[in-house]
Parts: sequence; C-alpha cells; structure tokens
Amino acid sequence: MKELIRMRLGLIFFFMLFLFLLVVLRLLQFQVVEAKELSDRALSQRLRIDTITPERGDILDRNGKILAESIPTPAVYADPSIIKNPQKTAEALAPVLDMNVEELYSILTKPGNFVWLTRNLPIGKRSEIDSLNLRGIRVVSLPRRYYPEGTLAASTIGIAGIDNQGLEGIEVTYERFLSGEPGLNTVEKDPAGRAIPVGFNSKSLPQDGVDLYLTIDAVIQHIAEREIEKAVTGSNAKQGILLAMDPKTGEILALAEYPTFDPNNFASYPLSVRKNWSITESFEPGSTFKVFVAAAAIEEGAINPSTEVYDPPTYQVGDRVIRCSSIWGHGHETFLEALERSCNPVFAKLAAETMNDDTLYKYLRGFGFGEKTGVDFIGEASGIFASKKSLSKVSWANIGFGQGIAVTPLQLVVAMSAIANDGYLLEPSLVKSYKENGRIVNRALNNNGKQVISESTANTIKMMMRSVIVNGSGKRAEIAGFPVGGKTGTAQIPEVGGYSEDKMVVSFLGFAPVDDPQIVALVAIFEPDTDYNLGGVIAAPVFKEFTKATLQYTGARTRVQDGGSIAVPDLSGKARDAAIKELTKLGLRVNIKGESTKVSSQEPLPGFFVEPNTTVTLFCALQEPRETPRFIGLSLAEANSLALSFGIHIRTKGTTTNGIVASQKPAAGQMLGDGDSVELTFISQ
Amino acid sequence: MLTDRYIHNMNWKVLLATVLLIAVGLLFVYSATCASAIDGLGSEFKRQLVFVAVGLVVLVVVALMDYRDVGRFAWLIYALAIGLLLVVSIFGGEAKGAQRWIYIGGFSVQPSEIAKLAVIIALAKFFSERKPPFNWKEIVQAILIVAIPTVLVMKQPDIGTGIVFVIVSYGLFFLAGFKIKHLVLSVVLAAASSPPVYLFLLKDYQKNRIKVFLDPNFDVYGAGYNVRQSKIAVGSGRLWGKGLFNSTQSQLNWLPEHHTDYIFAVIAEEIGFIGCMGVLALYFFLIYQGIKITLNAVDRFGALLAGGITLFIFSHVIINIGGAIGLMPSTGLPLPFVSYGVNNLLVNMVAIGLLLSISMRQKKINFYGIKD
Repeated sequence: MKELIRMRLGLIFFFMLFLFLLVVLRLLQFQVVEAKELSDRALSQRLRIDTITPERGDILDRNGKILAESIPTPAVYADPSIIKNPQKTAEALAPVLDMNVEELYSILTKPGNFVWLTRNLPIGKRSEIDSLNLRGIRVVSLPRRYYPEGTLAASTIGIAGIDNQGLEGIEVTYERFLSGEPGLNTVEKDPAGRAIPVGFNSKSLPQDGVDLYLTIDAVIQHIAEREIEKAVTGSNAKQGILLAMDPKTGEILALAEYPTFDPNNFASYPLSVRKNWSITESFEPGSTFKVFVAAAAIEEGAINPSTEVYDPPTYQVGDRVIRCSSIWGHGHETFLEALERSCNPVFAKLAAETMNDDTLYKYLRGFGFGEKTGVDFIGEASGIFASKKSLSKVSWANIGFGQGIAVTPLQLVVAMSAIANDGYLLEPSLVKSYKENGRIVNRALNNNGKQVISESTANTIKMMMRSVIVNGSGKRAEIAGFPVGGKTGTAQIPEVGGYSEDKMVVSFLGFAPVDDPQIVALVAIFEPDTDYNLGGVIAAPVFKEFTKATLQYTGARTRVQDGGSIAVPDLSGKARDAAIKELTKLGLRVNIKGESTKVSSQEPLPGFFVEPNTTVTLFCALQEPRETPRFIGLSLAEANSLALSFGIHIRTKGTTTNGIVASQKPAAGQMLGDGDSVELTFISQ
Repeated sequence: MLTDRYIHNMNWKVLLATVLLIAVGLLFVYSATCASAIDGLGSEFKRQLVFVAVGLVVLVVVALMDYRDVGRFAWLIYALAIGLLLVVSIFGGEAKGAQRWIYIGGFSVQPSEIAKLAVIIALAKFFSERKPPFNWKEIVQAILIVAIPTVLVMKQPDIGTGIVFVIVSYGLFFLAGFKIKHLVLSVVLAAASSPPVYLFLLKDYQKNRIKVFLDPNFDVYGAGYNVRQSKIAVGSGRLWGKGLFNSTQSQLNWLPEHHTDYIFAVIAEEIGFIGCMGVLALYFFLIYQGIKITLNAVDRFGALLAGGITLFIFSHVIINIGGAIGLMPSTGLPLPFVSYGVNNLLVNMVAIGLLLSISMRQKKINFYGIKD
C-alpha cells in the first residue's frame, strides 16, 4: 500500500518537475533570448511622437504675387475612446459634416483615440460644431494648400497634397525647401495616451518652409494664357503651348499651356492635363529647327546668307523624297531666301551632304538638343536625338528640316535664346530666388554660359530671322515698334508607320526686338483644325499679340522702323574699324565723320530697320572733355539731333512718345568724358 | 500549549519557505499598488498586511492542532463549503461577470477558495477509509465528491477553480490507487467532450482567452491585450530586472490586474530572470517538502491530505505563472502567498498549517526517542 503511494507520488513529482522546467525554459525565452525585442516593444508603446507641422513655404511670382500659399483650414477629429454615446454624436454631427449617420457611427466606434472626420471643413461651419459641444469631437486648424490665382501657371506650380506634401511641379521639385523640417514632440504616455508628467519629454521646434520666387511674371503669364487659350479654341486645336524666356538670363517668364487645370481642385482633372508638356514632353519641331542647322553651317563657314543655292521640287536621298512646299521648287535662290521660304530640300541637302555629320551633330548637341536643359523641374525630358553613329544620310536629311528629331518646347526656346544671347547658351530656370530668414537670396545658377556659335554668326542668324518676318512666312508676327525675328514651323505629327496627313503641329519660334532681344518665345499649337493649318497663319499672330502686350508691359523702348530688313546694330563706343567690319558684314554701307578711332554715335540709331546697302553714318569725333548740353524741355527728335550734333550718346527713360525731357544725368554744364552717355528721363506732355 | 516536542518537530523548512514567499508577495503587492501612488500606502497593501498577520496566527494554530481531528469533521466542513457555494450562486455579488463573493460585514468571502480545501479534506477522508481496488460505487461516490463543487464553481463561472478541483482530484485518485486505465479513460472522455464544452458552455470571454493562448497576436488591443502586455513585461525584465518599483509596465498601468492575476509579470519585470529563478526555487522547495511530508505521513489520511495540499499549491503556482507567460490560457487564479487577495491567502495559510501538522506527527525518531 505504502509502496503504491511512494511510486505514484514519485510520478507526480516528476510531472511537477517537468512543468517547472517548462516555466524556466519559457522565462529563458522571454527574458534572455527575446529580451531585447520585448524591451523595445515596451519602450516603443510608451512613447508618443507627435510631429509639429512646419508652415509650408509660399510660391510667388517674380514680383512677389502669391501663387500658392498655405492657409489655416478647420479640420475635425474624434477621440472615440471618450465618446459616451456614439449614436447620438453621429446623429448630431452628420448634417454638419454632410456625412451619413451610419458611416459616421462606424468611424466613431473604432478603437483608438484619434480619427479624422474631415480635413477640410468649410470655415463657416466651425462655429456650428463648436456650438454642438460634443464630447470627444474637436476642431483644429490645419494648413491647407491654396492657389489664389487658380489656373495661372498651374502646370508649372504643380500641386501639394492633403498633408502639404508636394506631388507635382515646383511643389515637388522644391519639396525639401517648401516643406521645412517638422518639429518632434516625444512624450512618454500611459495606455490612455495621456502624457506622463514626470516622464521622458523632448521637443524640437519645426523649421518653416522657404518662400520661393519664380522667374515667371504673373502678368506675362496671364497674357500668355489668354493668347494661347484664344488660339487653341479659335483653331479647334487639341492643345497649345506658349513658352517665353528672357534670353539674357535664361529665366522663364511665362509657361502657358491650354487646356489647363485648377490646382485647388486637381483631382477632377486627368493627369494628361496636369502634366507640364513644355518641359516633360517632346515633339518633332519641323521648320523652326532649320534655324539651328543654318547657325551651324554659317558658323562653320559652309554657307552664308547670300550663297546661291538650288531648291529643286524634290530632293531624293536614299529612298526618301523630300519636297519643297512649292511644287515647282524655288529654283536658284540665296540661302537667306531659302530660309524665308522654308525650302525643305535646301536644308535637307545642307544637313545630309554639305555639312560634315560630326560637325553638325556637335553643334546641335551644343544647342542642347538630346539632353536635359537642367531646368529646375522634376521630370524633364531630354527629347530624342539619336547618337550620331545611328544616323543615316536619310536621318540627317530629315533633321535638316526638323523631322526625325524630337525636342521639348523648352529645348527650342533655350537654343533660340542662345542665338539671341550672342551665341551663349544659358541654363533655364523657373525659380529666381527664395526668402531665407527674411532675406531674399538669388538662386545660385551655373550660368557662365557656353558659347555655341560666335556673336557674329548669332547676329547673322538674327538678321536672317528678321528677314523671315519681313519677306517670308512670318509676316503675321510683326509688331509695330518692336521688330521681330522668327521662324515658322508646320510639322506633320509622326504616327505608327509614317506621318499623319491631317494632324499637324504649327509653331512659331521668335524673339523681339531684333536689335536687343528681350524676349524669346515659342508658340506651338497641336492638331489645329482650320482651312490653313500653317505656323505662319495660326502661330505667328499669337506670338505677335503675346510679345506686343508683354513688351508694352515691360516698358521696352519702341523702335522706329523704316520697313527695312536689317537691324542697325549699336556701334557706339566700339572701335571704328570693328564697326565698319560689322556693318559691311550685314550688307550696309559706311560713312565716317570725324577722325577718332572710336565711334561716338551713329545715324540711323540702333534698332532702326533699313534696306540692304543703306549708308550708316558713324560719328567718330575727336572728343575733348566738354560740357553736357541742356536737353530738358526737348522732344525725343530734338534731343536726338542735339546729341548727334554734339556726338553724344543718349539713353532714354520714361515715355518718349509725345514726351519731353524732364531731367538729365549728368546735369547740363557738367563735364562729359569720351564715350560717356547722357541719361534722359521723359515725361508725357 | 507549545511544548518543546512541537518546536523540535516543527518543519522549519516549510515555514521558512512560506514566510519568504509571503514577504515576496508583500513586496510586490506594494510595488504594484503603492509605489507609484501619490497618497501613501494603498488600502490593498494595508489589508494584505493585516491578513498576513492574521494568517500567520491561523497557520500556527492549525499547525498545533492534530490534523486527525480535522479529519473527524471532514464531512461537516465539506457540507459547509457546498452550502456556501449554493449561497453564493443564489445571493452572491458579482465581479467581472462572475458571481464569486458573499459579503459578510466588511469582508467578502469567496466560498470557492474554502471549497478547494474542503474537497481535499473530504477526498482524503473518503479514501483513507477505503482501500483499492475500488468498486464502481466507490468510484462514483468519489467522483461525486468532486463533481458537485466543481459544477457549482464552474457555474459562477470560475473555470480556474474548477480546473484546480480537477487536477487535485485526479492527483488524489491517482495516489489513492485508482486503476491507471480508468484515469486514462477519463482523460480520453474529457478530451472528447471538450469541443462541445467549448462551443456550448464557455462564455465568449473564456473562448477568447483560449484563442489568445493559441494565437498570441489575436486581438492585441482587446482580448489579447493582457497576455501581450504581460509578455512584454516579463521580457523587458531581462536577466537582472529593472529594479524594485521600476517596472514601467506595471507602474504606468500598461499591465492590468498587476497585483493579482499578473503579479508574476511585475516580479519578472522588476527582478528579472535571476529573481524569477529565486521565486520559482522557493515554490519548488515548498512543493518538494510537501512531497516529502506526503511520503512520511503516519497514516493514509495524512498522506492523502498532504498530497492534496501539495497538488493544490502546485496547481495554483503553475496555472498562474503559466497564464502570465503564455504557457496556458489565463484563468485568473492567484499566485499562492503572493497575489493580493485575503481569501486565498488565509486558505493557503490553513493549508500550510495542516501540512505542518502532518509533518510534526510523522513517523520518525525524534530527539526524545519517542516513536510517534
């Protein structure tokens, strides 16, 4: 009997021992093997990290007009853990929030102590919610992105999402600057989420985002959008782009696209509309591209404007037949005329035969085709410009007149600006400056400029493009008072297996005023549907209206025009011999007055347009320091003749039309050195 | 009537282990209820302190009594316990969805705690008067002795106590000489009946505890919350613990029920693996002494009573700790001598008193050469 108990007790004891051992092993597992992980979990569940949202930077135009800002908007959240009667709360709240009761009830009964009900409460409804005085329902102010100008420059500015994070455009390109650094508030909490007074607590303040000033001018942008919308709707086109740049700085002044969208309500527009086509998409430019082929050829001395070329009705290269727009061809003509008439065979032959492939490739690359311009915008396209190895004679022939190569609108404008800027290629920019600690700082640009072609070639091209306006296909772009240079383009849109018969992109690429280009602009209208789908007919007038309004807005000096094709260059201050050379090159005659080796003034004045072989008089008076004459009270014409007679160069400010000189610098009677100019300020009478 | 004989026969080892465990208990009840309280000693700690004193007196008194006298009143005690269980099922107060308490004066009496001991005494008495092999009538009688209170506590519902009944009675049946095949058969039957029990008898919260046990990631913010927080507490104690009163899980209220069901987690967090080994060693030592006393008891009643008490203490220890470290579903049983709760404390003291009483009268040659 005793033995039975002893034996069975022994078994029980071993069973107990076994269970104790299990406990020990389990403790080993938790307290030794998994100890680190479990300790971390204990800590992490105790820490509540609240981020303190920084204020997102504004986006402004170059003159400080606000285009994007963050404004406080009421937002409503609930703490379901302290709501006593979710059903009643839901019923009271549903009509104010415009939600249905069941949906609200299910949100209010979720576990946890925080849930958003709306992030965008109409401001007027805030007091309604406050007056309901519901337990566990709170209203706070959250910054929300607002675009006060609506559609203005929408595809450039882009959009920021609900948490104020940039999603598209400048908003995302400059996200790091705009978003700022959030502050962190780390507190130790109990399970109810309450901070423990004696617990761990660390706080870092948020750093607000930086305000950005765009290179875009809201007024010019507005003009551009108005004109491009008019053009697209007027020509039943699918889409249109107007891109304008200051050729001296590379600053993009306007980037208008139609159709456009309202970033305040971006979700209701397709991505294709929100996209910035000017920067992120490329197209086959067509005839506007001839300008760059011409520039390369002239720079290399392969041709000059007066070179006689032959324009056949058709030009065959390989299996490709290239036709001129005139079915008979233009026969024998000068190279200048070939550009004016936009003769495809001439340029095809120039690219395929006359020019060395490597050389042409080098220049076109130099103008920036086939690579990103480096503009400060995420998602820039580089276009399609095949490596020179894969380019056949046929390809070169096509490239000669702008086919078989795809460029972004921005690349065209940048390359055009290089010509307008004495051959120096600049990096385009969209952000001009930013505000840091209350100071406006200019964005550092790597803009020493790479010279693609010489200044003299650039001037020749400018002159040729001026001629396109005066004598060629660009007549409709001409602006009274602001002589325009430009080139039209009419390209078929490539499709699978060839080119579309009826889908065109018509364009105009130009600059004004010719003597001192202040603006370069591209107008491109995609798939217009009119009787005359030609760049010269549809795009050129858009350029004219836009550029005219813009130059009037910027207060550019109007030029007097004689209807000639050659812009008289500014020669004052230059060496006499250099001036003579420059005029001769332009096809002008020279008459020298005076014995100085330096030009003090000229007749006609810079910017006047004259016929070839017109005589330009250079005043090279030997000048002793002398007194400044009195200009005050004179009209512009009187002031000019006085200045001429004294051999003094003048600069004008203010309204010169019907105006009189109100003040002058230096004042009358002060000594004036050789080459010094007098600044005259005009007021209207 | 303290005579030298008793003092010399006193099992100091059991007494020491008990007192040490009580000390550990007081320390951690203090930690769990008072250390972070702003207004000084919490009422729970004071109450526990008072009842430790009362319990020690009770322990000594019971130890000095002859356990065989208790045997004489076995059936009366048993009937009284059943009576109390019936009363509680009719009039009892509710706590957390279960009827467990009778309020008498300022005290709440928990009849299921008393019943645990009463069943052990009754079974020991029953088997001490019968020798194996048992006939069917005896088997049914024995089962009924356990089944009546088990059904009553399960109805409350107090599954934990029910499980204690089952474990202790299985142990006693085994010790008393039930045929192994009968015991095995009953285990098989129990296993077979568990699905319908799970489906039809268990309440949702009980089912959830089983789900939580099987899947530690089940509903970690609801049903699985306690077990998860307990596991985190145990783990973050690591090898040496965070130090007394430094348990963040308990002091910051992440861990619920930290002075009762999950007090072991507080211990584990504050004194780490090493400390836990110490506490486990104390329990193991106590149980080992219980086994020895069972072996050396002078009569069959004493042996069965000692065995039952040892099983009783052991089952509480293993179920409580097992629940806190996820080895078994959490049942809400207290950790003997350590958890806050005066009913359990007093019953445990009585049980140790009985164990000492048996130990002091065991068959051995004492210093005076008197064979007892």
